[in-house]
Amino acid sequence: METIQSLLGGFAVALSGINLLFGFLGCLLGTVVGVLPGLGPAATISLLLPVVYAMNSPATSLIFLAGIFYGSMYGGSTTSILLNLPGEAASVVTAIDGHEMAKKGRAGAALSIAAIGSFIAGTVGVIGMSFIGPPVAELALKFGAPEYFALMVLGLLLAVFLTSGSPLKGCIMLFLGIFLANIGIDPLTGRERFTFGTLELMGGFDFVTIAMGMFGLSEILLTLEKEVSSEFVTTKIGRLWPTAKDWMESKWAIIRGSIIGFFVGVIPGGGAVVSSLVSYSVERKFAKHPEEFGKGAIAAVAGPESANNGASSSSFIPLLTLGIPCNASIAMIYAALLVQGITPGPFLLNDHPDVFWGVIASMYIGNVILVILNLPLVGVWVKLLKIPFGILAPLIVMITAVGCYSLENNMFNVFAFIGFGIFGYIVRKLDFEPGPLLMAFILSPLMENSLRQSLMLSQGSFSIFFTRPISGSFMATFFIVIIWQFISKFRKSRKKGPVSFL
Amino acid sequence: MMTKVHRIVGIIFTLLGLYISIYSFTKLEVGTITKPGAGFFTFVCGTGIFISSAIWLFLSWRKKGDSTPFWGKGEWINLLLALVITFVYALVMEPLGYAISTALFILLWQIVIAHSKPLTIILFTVLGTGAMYFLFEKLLSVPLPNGLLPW
Repeated sequence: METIQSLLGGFAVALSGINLLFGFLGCLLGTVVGVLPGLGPAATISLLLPVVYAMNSPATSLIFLAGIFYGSMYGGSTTSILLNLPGEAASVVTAIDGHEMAKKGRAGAALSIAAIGSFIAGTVGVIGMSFIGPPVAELALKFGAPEYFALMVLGLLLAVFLTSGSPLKGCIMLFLGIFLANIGIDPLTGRERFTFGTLELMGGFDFVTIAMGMFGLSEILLTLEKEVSSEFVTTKIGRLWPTAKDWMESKWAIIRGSIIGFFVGVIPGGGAVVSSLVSYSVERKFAKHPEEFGKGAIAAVAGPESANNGASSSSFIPLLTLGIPCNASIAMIYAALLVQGITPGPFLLNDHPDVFWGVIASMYIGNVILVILNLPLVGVWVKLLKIPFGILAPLIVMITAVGCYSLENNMFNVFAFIGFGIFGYIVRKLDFEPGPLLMAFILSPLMENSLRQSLMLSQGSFSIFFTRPISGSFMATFFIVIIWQFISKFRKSRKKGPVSFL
Repeated sequence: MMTKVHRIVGIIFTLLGLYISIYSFTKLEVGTITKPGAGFFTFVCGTGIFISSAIWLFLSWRKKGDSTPFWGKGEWINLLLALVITFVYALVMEPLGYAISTALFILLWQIVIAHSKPLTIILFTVLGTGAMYFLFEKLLSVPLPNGLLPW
């Protein structure tokens, strides 16, 4: 009952004029970036961070950024189905069968089932979040420094294993992220760390500069390499409403996708991409005719699309209740909140209920907005691809460069942004996933403090992380994950020959 | 070619990890387990980067050569041009001011990379510069560098 009352309070926040407007703008912008290849949600959020910093209300900025994040999941399916051009990574799986359906003149059915599945899963995710969030936040209030440290270590490890194909590359990014966060003056001792006497480095690198470079600029550079076709491919959309047979084939896929998405989304590093892949393979196993997969099976569209939306909603749970960002986009939302003086975590629910419940309520509204935006306006979104990249690219670079300048009104941030852009381009070309770097960067100060406090509490004994029940459980899971990774690699290597850790 | 780049990057990361560890150990105070110093965390990071990169480097050395080139034919040209234009933009933003430098940036990008038509170039240069000025200076109250112009 208390949850329902709080949720109603959240609706009052989300339905206020300015929040409704920014919620709508977020969904609209999310759909646009989902449609456009070469600009993912992480890049867009990084691009808009300076804009968000200028907003006065944390609830409004969170509603806006959340709208971009889950809105992009909806938009991604449109171009995947119609043009075989996934607008963002989570829609890659949708393109396989969705585009085959489109080629058979059933694009309408694929689009509508993707939108309906997304709506159902998104709503399931938000309902789950409404009811699971408060007890998780309450549990997290019992966390001390050792629990937080163990949780962050486990979260980062999972992010390394799940987001990047190579655990080693993931580890390198992770340690680099922690190192970058440590540049500047040590808050405890006041000593300079790796500043080399440079005044600008005393305060350390700004998260926005790194995020904009690693995601914004590097994405532009990577897209500039490829010939992005802006040619409009006319595909007959056909009947928009699915047939009774389509419903029968999709209903369980949507339900399974929603559940998979919800649980995978909560795991750090899980997120939309992993959940859509898991859902695709689960649907294939459940299918009566698995041979139809890859040839236009509607369940292969319904499941993954539901899963990626479910995951995008549920990934807010660790952020809002534990203060742990699950992926790069959420890490940027974390940074936006920090700058506005709000520390995401267990105290958020009590200290800023308007932010916590406002964003949850906005997601209910956002899901309805997105269905309305995505189904009837599908033709408009596809036409967006007509915008030449030559126009979009300088606009994005310009906004990010000016955005970096606006952080402290100095050029150092702009040059750092270019440097991180080049670095991001090189590592992403070599298949390094920049997500763990950003997550580590944002969590590093909290990790360092938790570690120092824990070691002081235990007088230098690391046993503190293993003897307390909650931190001990996290550490046990940490080691189980590592051992399980090695065992699964070993098994694979016995079956298929050497497996690369690279 | 790709393997070669992997190895070069692997060597750079390994050396970087080593440098961070040595610097933290010698120049910063690592402290003790009970009282970690300013260099403790960076020392751990440096060691982590060094070990991960060294293993990665070792494994990539054993791996069969990947002949895929790092850049396809002519791929790097647009990339290099974009970087040069962005770098010049950053260099001249303060002395020339936002308006002139941004207009120049868009103009150059449109001519050199996008190869746009003259009308598109003019329209986009004027509208793009104006729209961004309005967004940052007026809507977000972000002070932009004036440079040569009074606004």
